[in-house]
Amino acid sequence: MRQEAEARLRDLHTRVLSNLIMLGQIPAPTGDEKERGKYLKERFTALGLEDISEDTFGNVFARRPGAQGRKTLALFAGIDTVFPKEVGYEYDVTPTQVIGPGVSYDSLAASSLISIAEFFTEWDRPLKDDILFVGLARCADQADQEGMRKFLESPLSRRIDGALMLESIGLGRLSYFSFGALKFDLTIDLPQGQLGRVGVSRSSAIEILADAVNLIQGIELPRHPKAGLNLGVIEGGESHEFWATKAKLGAEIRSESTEILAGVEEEVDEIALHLGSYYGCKASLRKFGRRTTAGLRFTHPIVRAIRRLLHGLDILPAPGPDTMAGSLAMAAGIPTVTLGLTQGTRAGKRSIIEIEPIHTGLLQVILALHQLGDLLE
Amino acid sequence: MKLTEWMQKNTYHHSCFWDVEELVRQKNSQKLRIALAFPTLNEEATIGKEVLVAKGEMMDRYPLLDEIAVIDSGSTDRTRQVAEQFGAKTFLASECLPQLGEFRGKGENLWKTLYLMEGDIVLWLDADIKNIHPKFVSGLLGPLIYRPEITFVKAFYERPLTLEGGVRTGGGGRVTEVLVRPLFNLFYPELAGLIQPLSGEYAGRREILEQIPFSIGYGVETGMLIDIYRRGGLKCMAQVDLDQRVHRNQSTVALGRMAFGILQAFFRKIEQEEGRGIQNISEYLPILMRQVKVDGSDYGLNEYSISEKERPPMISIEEYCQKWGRNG
Repeated sequence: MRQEAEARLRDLHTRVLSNLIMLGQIPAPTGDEKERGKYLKERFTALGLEDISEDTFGNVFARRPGAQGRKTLALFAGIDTVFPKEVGYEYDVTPTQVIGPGVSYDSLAASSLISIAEFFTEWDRPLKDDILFVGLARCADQADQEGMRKFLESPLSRRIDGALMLESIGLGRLSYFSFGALKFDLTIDLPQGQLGRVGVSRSSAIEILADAVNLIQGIELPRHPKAGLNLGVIEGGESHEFWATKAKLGAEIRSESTEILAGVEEEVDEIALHLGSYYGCKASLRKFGRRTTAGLRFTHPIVRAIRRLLHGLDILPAPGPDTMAGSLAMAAGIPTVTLGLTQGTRAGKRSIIEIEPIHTGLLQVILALHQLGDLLE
Repeated sequence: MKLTEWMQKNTYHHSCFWDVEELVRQKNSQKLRIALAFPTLNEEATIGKEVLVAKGEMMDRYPLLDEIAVIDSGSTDRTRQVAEQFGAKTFLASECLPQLGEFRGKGENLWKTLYLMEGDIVLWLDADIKNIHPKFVSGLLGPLIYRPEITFVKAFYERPLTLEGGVRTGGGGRVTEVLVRPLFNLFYPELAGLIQPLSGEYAGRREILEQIPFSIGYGVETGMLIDIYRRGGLKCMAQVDLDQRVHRNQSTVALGRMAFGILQAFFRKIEQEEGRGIQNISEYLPILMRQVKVDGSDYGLNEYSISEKERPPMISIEEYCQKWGRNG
């Protein structure tokens, strides 16, 4: 079967890339994915898929009925990008790479929904199970995975027996578990022209934020269960000569334990309250990207099967914690594995994907879809 | 047909031809073969994507095109390798009909397309389009497939120019507005209704294309329009709105050289017409284009030799008639 699938995929090579160009060059900043969703629906319609629809959040669905229809397997991919429309979505194509905004995050994954649907439409080996193709809107972290969250609240999600989440890059990744995590922004605001009311001395927003950093770093984290804290973003102030009236810290807490995560979250809440009252400033927290610890055991039949499959394709499996969308699906009880489709980089507007490995990336998904239903017995 | 009437009846938007499956059905019922050619010179940055999209969408997915080829003027970059990798045939113009002498220019490549490719309809797209889309193909072919009396279709579009730091909407078409449209108004008023006569995207039926001479350089678009107009009138032409084309901007001095070539080709056309009272003028026109260069207080001239030669109608070439069984 593998040889047949490989040969068929070779025939589709040009269309796989033209799918990427056609879809990827449609601007789709988070929250404004309508045009891309429309294109996906058009392609699904042309391919004869069934139950093609779109929900109010811009998620797009299409079903390809299986020969037996015993199970429903979902294929997820995000359809939004982090770039504004004005950035210019034209891709460059070289003999080995496609380069452009969003190509690796996550336009290849989104266009692969079309390519895989096209593959199965033209292949004469029917799948036993139904496949539900799901293009997820508002999939970027900053949108808090709203598209996936809303999908998981829908009745449609309860019909899913297992799922693959596609990521454009990271071929070889085999993500089947997730840590609990929570992202937050802590913003310090001083009333315009005023400085922090002080017990000891005057303080600017940046100084208050520095205090916050010290306090957050002072939170005790256990070695077991594992937990971590990443201070990832800091911004504030306007010029060397003026006191900063606004400053922001962006951070993420991760833990294997939902309880530990809740404890750290509570301490962060208290730190914000303390800063507000101590300095007389507005210390506001915006929390997002919340996910709970979830996943499959490394001995789960799906994990084992995909691990074997990757070995068979000469891909070294690289297990690692899941992306947020996959984690949310797992937390909702859907056995979900996240797979990468090729190699590449995320480098802003000049993000890159490698063309040649896409073939292997798609092959792993096609072969996995053939096995998944039986393993979910 | 009055010009305004022609503009109403023969100007389309590409969305009129959105149903590509129907285009394919119509094409098959007429037993048409359609060739797409890209004239190239050092276009490795964009040719891969153009070939990829044309082949993936309009050949593999919908079999509207029967052949895709690059006719290259001797690129020193990887234009030919890239095009071949993504599925185009590639030809070096200098290796085609070498016994007829060698000229270098876009028009030379277009002329040789007729010898190299077998389509009943030939479609040409410039190779520097950054926002290539299947509508460039379906839009230009639509009028030819649905209306047998149409023999030639020209593209027009909004032309945002890619500049450093962003995209500027509008502009472009400077040579059209300051040179070609005024000339058309003076000598061929009906052609003034063509919105972008110099656009590099057009399609025609072989039976008309093989009957006309081809200017080898900058004048090829202007010359082609005049010759097709002379043979069939405006009623055999159509134009299609392709919305937007993103491409490289050209400097004003480069456009000056283009205008020089177009003028040569234009004078050749009008001297061929009796009743104009203009004869043998092209014999006396110089081929040296001088452009001023200023470097601080150093003033000088750049000199370019631009000779807008013309290839005879392909139907008059014996090798062509033999290869494709045409009667010259």
